[in-house]
Amino acid sequence: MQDAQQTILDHYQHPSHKGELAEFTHHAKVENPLCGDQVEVFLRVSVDGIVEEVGFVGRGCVISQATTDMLLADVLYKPLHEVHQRNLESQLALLDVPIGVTRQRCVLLSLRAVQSATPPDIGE
Amino acid sequence: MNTPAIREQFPILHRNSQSGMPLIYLDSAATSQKPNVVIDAMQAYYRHHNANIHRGIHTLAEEATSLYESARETSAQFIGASSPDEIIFTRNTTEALNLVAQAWGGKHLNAGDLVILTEMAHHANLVPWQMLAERKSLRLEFIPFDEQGTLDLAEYARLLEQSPKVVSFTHISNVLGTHNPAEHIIAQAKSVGAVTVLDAAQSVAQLPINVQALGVDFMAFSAHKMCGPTGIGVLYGKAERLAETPPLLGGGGMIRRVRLRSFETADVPARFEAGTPAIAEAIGMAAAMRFLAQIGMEEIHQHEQALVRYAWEKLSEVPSLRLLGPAADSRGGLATFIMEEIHAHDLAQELDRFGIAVRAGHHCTMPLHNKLGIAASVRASFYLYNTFEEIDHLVLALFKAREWLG
Repeated sequence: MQDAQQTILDHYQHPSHKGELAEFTHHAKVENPLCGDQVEVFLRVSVDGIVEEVGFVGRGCVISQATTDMLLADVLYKPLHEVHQRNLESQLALLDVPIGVTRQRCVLLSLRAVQSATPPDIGE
Repeated sequence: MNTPAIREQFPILHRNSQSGMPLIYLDSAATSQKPNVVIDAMQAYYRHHNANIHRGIHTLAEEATSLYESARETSAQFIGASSPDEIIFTRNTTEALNLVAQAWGGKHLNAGDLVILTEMAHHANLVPWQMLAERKSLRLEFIPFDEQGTLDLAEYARLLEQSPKVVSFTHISNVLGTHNPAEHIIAQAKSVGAVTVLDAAQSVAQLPINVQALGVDFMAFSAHKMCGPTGIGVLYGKAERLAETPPLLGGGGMIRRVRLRSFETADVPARFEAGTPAIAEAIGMAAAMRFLAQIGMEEIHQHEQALVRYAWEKLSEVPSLRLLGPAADSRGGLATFIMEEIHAHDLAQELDRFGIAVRAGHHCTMPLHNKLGIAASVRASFYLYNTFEEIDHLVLALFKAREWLG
């Protein structure tokens, strides 16, 4: 568990996908006004529906920001429609540490962003 | 005050947190822990006396009614009300404040009337007035707070020139900890004929309070922040104010006589307590009040003051930590802070690993946090069972959290 926590912290402190994309096809900004967390995601998706480039900007707690970086890494080079099969369970699997119910909204923030950025039927 | 002996009476304080560390409970401003006497009183009611109250004509119903009504007497004594009839049982502070706004305000306020609130209001003393303002086209104005988290009384004096109908404010801010000068605010409001409403959710638990000395019209508080159970609170109302307040909920218990197309309301306080009330909870609340009174509210207040002074001094030594609200000599028993670069929720989660329970978020005061330009803060709040050693643990854990997350 200590390793998983360190991994999460690494994604928070040294994210691989932080930054806006110069060219993107899909984009959305979501926030959780209750805790002030914000995530804005950018995706460049090919004509056949493959995620070719990802980026995000945002601010908030470790969980919300690290999960965004992890989610984007996980969807990169995959068909976009897979994004819409994801749920809380798959988000928790990315983190691999126990998350209390009160912080599930932090875990879900990035997924809400990616799903609202993209129509569910693209690339199918 | 004999803190070890007091801690002995709170069974939950002897458990560990999820991390295996001994529990350090610093979240009493959200809800306090419960002593054995409260738990036992509620259990005894269910084991030996349970029945619905009023109108029952059997042994249990009479015992239950007598326990419930004696809880009203205990509550009246605890806050210095002149009669038990001035005590309305509600679910909590929030419901009590809604009752004032919707029932009293609904009848006595009209379009254009001014209601004065504060910028540090808990949502419970803000949203009900917003709802009423929308329904009746009222004007809302706010007493601002300054950089120290103190209410701007000069601005208050200017607002009073506009002849407000209501002044509703918090006694002790649940975030800034500010102990507002209630006597002054109430006296000034009365001088222009405004009705006063006091949110005493934080203060009743930690200060001796006498509503007659304060001269307040309405006062709201919850049992669960003062060692009592959840699900029960009190609206105190001056007899003359309650007499002019219509009921909010209709149903059994609040009527004198009902015909198919009309009804006559019961007298105060039954008029405001439709339906089967929280009987066991009222009994538990009375047990909590007796418990606190036996220790002494002045004693408890002194203990909290000593803890918060100590916490203020120690927390000031933590690098990049910013304390919110006024300095330690004019505040209630809580310390709210933010740490640069670390989100409040992350900090609270880290502290939990050390067994320390604090609260993180906006604490039901989003406008207050907006004014301070922050999304969330961390609050450590203290009560009669907390110790100086626990504050040392908090400070140490903050240093460690800063290394890990900072």
